[in-house]
Amino acid sequence: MKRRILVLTVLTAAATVGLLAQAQQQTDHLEIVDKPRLVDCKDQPCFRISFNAVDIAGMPAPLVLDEKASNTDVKIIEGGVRSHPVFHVKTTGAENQSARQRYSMLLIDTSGSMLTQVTPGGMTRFDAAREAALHTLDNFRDGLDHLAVVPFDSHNVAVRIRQAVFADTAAQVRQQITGLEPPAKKNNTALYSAIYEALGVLTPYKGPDHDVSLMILTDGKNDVAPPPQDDLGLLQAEDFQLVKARTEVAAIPIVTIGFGAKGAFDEAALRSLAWPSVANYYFAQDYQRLAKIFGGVRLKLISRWEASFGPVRDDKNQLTGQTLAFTVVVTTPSGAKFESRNEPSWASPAIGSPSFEASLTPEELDSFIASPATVRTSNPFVTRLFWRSVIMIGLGGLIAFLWLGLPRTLWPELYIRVPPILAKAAPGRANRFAAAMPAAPRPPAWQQAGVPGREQARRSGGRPAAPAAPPSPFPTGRPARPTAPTDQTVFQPLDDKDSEDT
Amino acid sequence: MKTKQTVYFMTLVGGLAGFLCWSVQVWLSDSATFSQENQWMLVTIYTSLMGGLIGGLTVGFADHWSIKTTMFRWIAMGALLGLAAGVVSGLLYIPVLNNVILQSPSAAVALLGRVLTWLIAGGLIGFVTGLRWFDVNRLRAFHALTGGMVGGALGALVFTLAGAHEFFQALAFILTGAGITLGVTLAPVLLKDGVVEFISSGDARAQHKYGAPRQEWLMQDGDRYVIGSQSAESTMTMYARGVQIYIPDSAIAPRHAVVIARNKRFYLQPHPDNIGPGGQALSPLMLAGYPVVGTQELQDGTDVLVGRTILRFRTKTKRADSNEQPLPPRKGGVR
Repeated sequence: MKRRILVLTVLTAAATVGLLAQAQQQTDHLEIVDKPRLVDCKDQPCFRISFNAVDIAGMPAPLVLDEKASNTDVKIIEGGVRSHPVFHVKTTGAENQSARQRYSMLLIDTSGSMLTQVTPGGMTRFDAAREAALHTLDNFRDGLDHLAVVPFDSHNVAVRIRQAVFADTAAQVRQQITGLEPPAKKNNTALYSAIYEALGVLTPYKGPDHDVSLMILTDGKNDVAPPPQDDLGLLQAEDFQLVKARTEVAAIPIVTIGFGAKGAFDEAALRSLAWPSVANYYFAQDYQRLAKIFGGVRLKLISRWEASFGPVRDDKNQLTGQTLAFTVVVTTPSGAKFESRNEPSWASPAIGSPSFEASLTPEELDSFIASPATVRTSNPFVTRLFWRSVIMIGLGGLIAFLWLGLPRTLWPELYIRVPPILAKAAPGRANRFAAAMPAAPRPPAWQQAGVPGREQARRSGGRPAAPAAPPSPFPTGRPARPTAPTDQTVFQPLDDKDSEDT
Repeated sequence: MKTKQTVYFMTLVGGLAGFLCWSVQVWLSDSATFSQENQWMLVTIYTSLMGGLIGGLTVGFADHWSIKTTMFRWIAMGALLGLAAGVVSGLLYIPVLNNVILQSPSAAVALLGRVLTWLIAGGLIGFVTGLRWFDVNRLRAFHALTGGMVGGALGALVFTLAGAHEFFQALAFILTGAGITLGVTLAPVLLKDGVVEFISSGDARAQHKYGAPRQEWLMQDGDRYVIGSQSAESTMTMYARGVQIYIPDSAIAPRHAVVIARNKRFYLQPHPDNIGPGGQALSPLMLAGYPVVGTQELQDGTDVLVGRTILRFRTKTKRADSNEQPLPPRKGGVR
């Protein structure tokens, strides 16, 4: 009886484990792996979005999708309400022959705490990390993948990262992993410096033909001591925002893995530094979980779906001042439906109009032209040109009127021409014309006696013509700049001495 | 030029700068390709452009209207400072974008982040524009900062809420530019404690320049104006004017007198360059018909004879006590 119960228990447990394992391989939801990118669809705003199918634990899961039937299988919803047509879907999986070159860096913590044993009497965290890292080779393709494995602690952080060698073959990567030196007990964790430096090394590899990613494993938090215990110039805990800003500017997918007991490492920092979203943060308590993460994460980074959709508006400038988030909804041929979570946002610049980030690839362009969404009655550029001309003429004209026209009505005295001869008066010589200058401005001609007033002019349908002015006794033309006294100065100076006496 | 005309035209100068900035940015955004991570560069270009235009045009037009002279180095310095303010604004946009606009799921917070960006840009551009009056009154720069922030907030709201159409984008830029220069010019008007008004001059050039309409110089607490005939060409400063009340009167010394506003009281004294061995002014300086010796307090309606030019001082502050008051000690002394 006892034997039967034992057998049944074992069988039940095995079945449960099997089911759990199977459940973990099933697609649960979609994960956006990069920010939405604004692309130029023949002068119209479209977006390109990359996503993966993942299981409930965030590990890659299979997704069967027919690329030809993109419009029906993949839907993009903006802000939960507005649907956009998808005109191109493709996969960039490892099996894809046109896959791009992939550059990755794996940073492994070699601080003293990594010598902690995972299980009593068993392997240390460092040993576990080294063994698990070998699983990154599960999907490694020689010549296409390039991986650098770099240890970091609190010594020579920048030097080791800058001198990292991207191995081109699985054998070379294996050699780098197995060749990692065990950590020293005195080592601390320069987590921020390591990420900062790694992004600096990886950024030049970014390009239209390259995918770049960073994976970092740590069991601690950013903790460095002043020299001589640790190196000089390492980033401190208060430098977190600096690193965070660097991750945003670099826009390189970052997978952060916290290893060990929760609370021992800085989970908040690792979650925040994962890019583009917190979905790239993982927690591993033991070797098995870590090995699974290394294998899966690598697959997730190199295998993704890309959907191009739009136009989302008639004109790119209509996106000005907006922050958009897109939800991806995929319906598989079997009828299963999956949605994305934690979508990163696209934001137009706070000041100015947004600019395109890229153009469509030839394949995307073919799909776009074939899409019914491209049918337009007007040329976007011509429409834009027309409206800009209208605005420039309208607002430019308004400013010109406010500058040149309105002040003449508000302050006519500003525009009364002063006899230019006054401006020629000798410097240092007072003259009788100065005293004769009118204290108050002369009203416009139509306001003078004998001429109908403003109201009368308005009623009579226009401003009456001013009476003919008497011929000016002064020369016409622009007033000259004050000059030195000349023989042509006609005014007699007052007696300077007398005026000083007063 | 009267105060209201100065405010009017300076506001237009800001609006014109904003309009020019929009005209450039709208074509630039079409032709340039920037990834989302580098859009701070785009913002930096726009804010620098706006700062440079406002800084340069403000100095140029202010001098053109007030002293009929524009100095290239002053305009260049104004443009350079505005440009620098724009660059700083663009750099400050990075943390605002990453920590406010992109991180918050709330549209209201994202809006706040966008308004904050305009506030920073407007405030900094206003601040450097106000630095020109730093010698006159250090508070002027902060008043200009406040004005710039108000202008920036106004532009931000129009831009963010109605920016889907290019007309409103252009309007937002115009409003921001106009708001900044309006703030810079209006702050002294709102805070004015006294006015120095041109009445007449025996020198035709001064009479021609300031006679109609009568020129006014606003004074607020803390101001220190130098009256003189030192022209812009003979001033060696890089940004600010050497004299704030410039009167082209040959009987006026290059730096003739100083008007000081301190604790809501106003004082007149000969400039140190214009003091003879006996303490009297070398060139004519009279207050209510009496020569000015040392420091004397100005009362409402007092006429001041400077060279052959009569200025009238007006203030709402009425004082019935003695005409002559000791001037409180000033840090650094009178220059």
